[in-house]
Amino acid sequence: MMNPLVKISKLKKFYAQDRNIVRSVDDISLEIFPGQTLGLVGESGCGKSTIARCLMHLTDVTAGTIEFDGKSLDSLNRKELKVYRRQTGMIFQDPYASLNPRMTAKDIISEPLEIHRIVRGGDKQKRIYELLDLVGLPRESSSRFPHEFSGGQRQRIGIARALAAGPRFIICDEPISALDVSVQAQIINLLKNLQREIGLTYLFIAHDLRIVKYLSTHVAVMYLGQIMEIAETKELYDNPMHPYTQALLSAIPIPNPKIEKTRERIVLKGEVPSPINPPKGCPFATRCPHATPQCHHVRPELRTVAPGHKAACHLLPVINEA
Amino acid sequence: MKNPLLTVEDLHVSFKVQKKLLQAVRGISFTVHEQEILGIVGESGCGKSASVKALINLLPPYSTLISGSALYRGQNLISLSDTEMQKIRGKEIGMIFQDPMTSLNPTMKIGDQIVEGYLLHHKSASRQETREYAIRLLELVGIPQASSRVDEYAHTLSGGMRQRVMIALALAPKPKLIIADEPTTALDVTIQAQILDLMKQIKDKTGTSFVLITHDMSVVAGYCDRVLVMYAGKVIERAPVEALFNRPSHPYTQGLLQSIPRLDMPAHHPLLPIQGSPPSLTEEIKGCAFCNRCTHVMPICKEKDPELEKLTPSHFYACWRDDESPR
Repeated sequence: MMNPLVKISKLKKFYAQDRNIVRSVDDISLEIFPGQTLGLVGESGCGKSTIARCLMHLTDVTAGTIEFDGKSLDSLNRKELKVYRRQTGMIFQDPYASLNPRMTAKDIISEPLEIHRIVRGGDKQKRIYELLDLVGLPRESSSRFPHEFSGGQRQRIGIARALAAGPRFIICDEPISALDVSVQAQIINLLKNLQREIGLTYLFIAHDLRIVKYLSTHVAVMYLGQIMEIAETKELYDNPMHPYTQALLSAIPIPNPKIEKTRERIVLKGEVPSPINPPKGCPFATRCPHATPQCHHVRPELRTVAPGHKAACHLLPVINEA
Repeated sequence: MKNPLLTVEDLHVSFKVQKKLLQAVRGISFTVHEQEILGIVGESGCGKSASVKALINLLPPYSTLISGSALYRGQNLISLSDTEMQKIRGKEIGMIFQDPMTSLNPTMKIGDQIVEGYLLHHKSASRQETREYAIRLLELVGIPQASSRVDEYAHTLSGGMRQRVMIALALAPKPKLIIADEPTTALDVTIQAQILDLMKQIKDKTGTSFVLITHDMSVVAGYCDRVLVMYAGKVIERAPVEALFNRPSHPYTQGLLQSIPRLDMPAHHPLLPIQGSPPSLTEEIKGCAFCNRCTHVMPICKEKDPELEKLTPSHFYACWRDDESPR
C-alpha cells in the first residue's frame, strides 16, 4: 500500500469574528495519494478554500495535523518550509487578480525559479520556454504584460507559475470558474494532460460537480465545514448516498430539455446555516428532507456505507432501501 | 402561436471606446412572445446584455450609438423620449440584475424599495395598501416571515434572499416582461435551482414573459422555451429549446455543447474545447465572425457573413455549411 502524499487529520480551523467564533473547518480528515486528484466540492462558505489555505501553511490551524509526504507541517522549520513550498503549487480562481499587472509573463513565471534559486542565466530562459510550451502559450508572448492576454491565456500563465518550481502537489482553487464556457474546457484538458505528463497530484476545489467529475479520481462533498460524503468519482456520481449530495446533483440542470422536462428535482428549502452558530446535530438537518429528531441532536460520524464510500448520515442505509 | 409582445428588428449597438467604435451588437432581430421564457445564451462580450439594455435605454447615452427598431405594443422603444421611456421601464418591462449584493439600496427598507417603483406609477395608493402589497409580493417570491422582513434592510439577507427581493421589486409594477441578466450567476447551485424554479412559477402564475440571459447551456435546457445563441454581436442560431438541443446546427452551438462538462455523461468522457478566443469587436469583422475558430471553415466563410437561414419554420442558423454535412 502506498503512503498518502497529503494526510489531513482531524483538522479544525476557527476564526474569531467580533465576539463570535466562525467554525470554518470543523474536524476534517482526508488523504490524497500520489497521482490522484481529489475533488473538493461544496457551496460558498463551506470551508473548502480554508482547507487550501491551511494546506499551503498560509494560516495556522486551530487543531489537528497536516502531513505532507509523512512529515507534519507544524514540525517544519523555516528552511524545511521553503522546501515544502517548492513541492506545492497553487492555481487561483481569478486570473485577473492573481497576476501582478506590472510584471511581464516572463517575470511572473520566473519568480519562483529565483526565490528557490533553481536555475540561473541561460538555463532560466530555457526553463521559461519549456514552461510556456507546456501550458500552450507562444514563446514570443513572454515579454507581454497580463492585460495583453485573454482570460484563458492568463490562467495558463498562472498554471506555468505554479509549475515553475517543479512541484509534486498542486492545489487548484476554482481555477476555471472565472473563465468563459468555451475556454473552460481548454483549461480542464490542459490540467489533465499536465497530470499525465508530469505525474502531478491535485487537490481540485470547485463548487460545480460537473467539472469535478471530469478531473477527479476521488470526490469529497463538504457542507458547513464538514465532509458529508467521500468516494471514488464513479461511485459517488453513480450512487450518491448522502441527501445533500443527492440534492446538489439534482440542482444541476442537464443540457437536454427532454430529460429536464421529466426529471424530478429535489429543491432544497432554505439556506446554509451560519458557521458562527452551526446546528448542534447534523449540519444539514435544517434543510434535509429526511431529517429525524436524532439528526437535530447528534452529529453523525463519517462511516463506511459501501466499499470505499463514506458518508456522514444517521439515516443510511435506511433511506436508500426505501 | 402566442402573440408577440416585443419585436426587435436589426438592432445595432456600438460604444465609443478610446476613439474606436466597438460594435457590441451587429444587427440582431428577435421576438419575445407573451408568457414565454426566451433565453439568450453566449459568452461574455457577445452582446447579450448590451442588446437588452439598449431596449430600455440603460446604456450611457453619450458613448452609445443605437439603431434599429424595437416594437413593444405599438411603440418603438428605440425612438422614445426619456419621459416616455420612464412610463415603460419598470412598469411594462422590468429588470433583474446579476449581482443581488450591489443592486439593492442598503439604506432603504426592503418593503419601501419594493414599492418604490409601484408608487411611481400608482400615486394614489395609501401607505397601508402599499405595505400590504409589498408583503404579498414577498410571500409570492417565497420569503419566510414576510410581514417582519418587509421592515428589514438588505444586508440582513443572504444572496438568494436578496435575489428574491429583486424579483419582487421587478414584479411590483406588474410588468408584462422581465429581463433577467444572469440572475443566478452569483449564487450557489442549490439556490440557483430555487430562483429559476421561482421564475418559471411566476411565468405560469402571472403570465409575465422573461428574457433570461445566461452563459450556461444547462440553464437554457432546463428553463427556456426558445433560445437565441449569440456570438460576437450576432444571433447565430435561433430555435425552440428542444430543437436546439436535438439538432444544434451552427458549429459554435455544437462546439459549446461539446465543450461543457455534463452530469449525464460518464466521468472522464473527453471534453472538446473550442480553440482560440472570440474576435475583437473594435476591428472590422470580415466574413463570419466565428471562422477563425471553426473546424468546418470554407473559403466563403472568410469573405461573406452568412445570414440566418431557415432549417425548419422555427429553427434558424447562420452558416454557409449545409446542414447535411457531417458534424
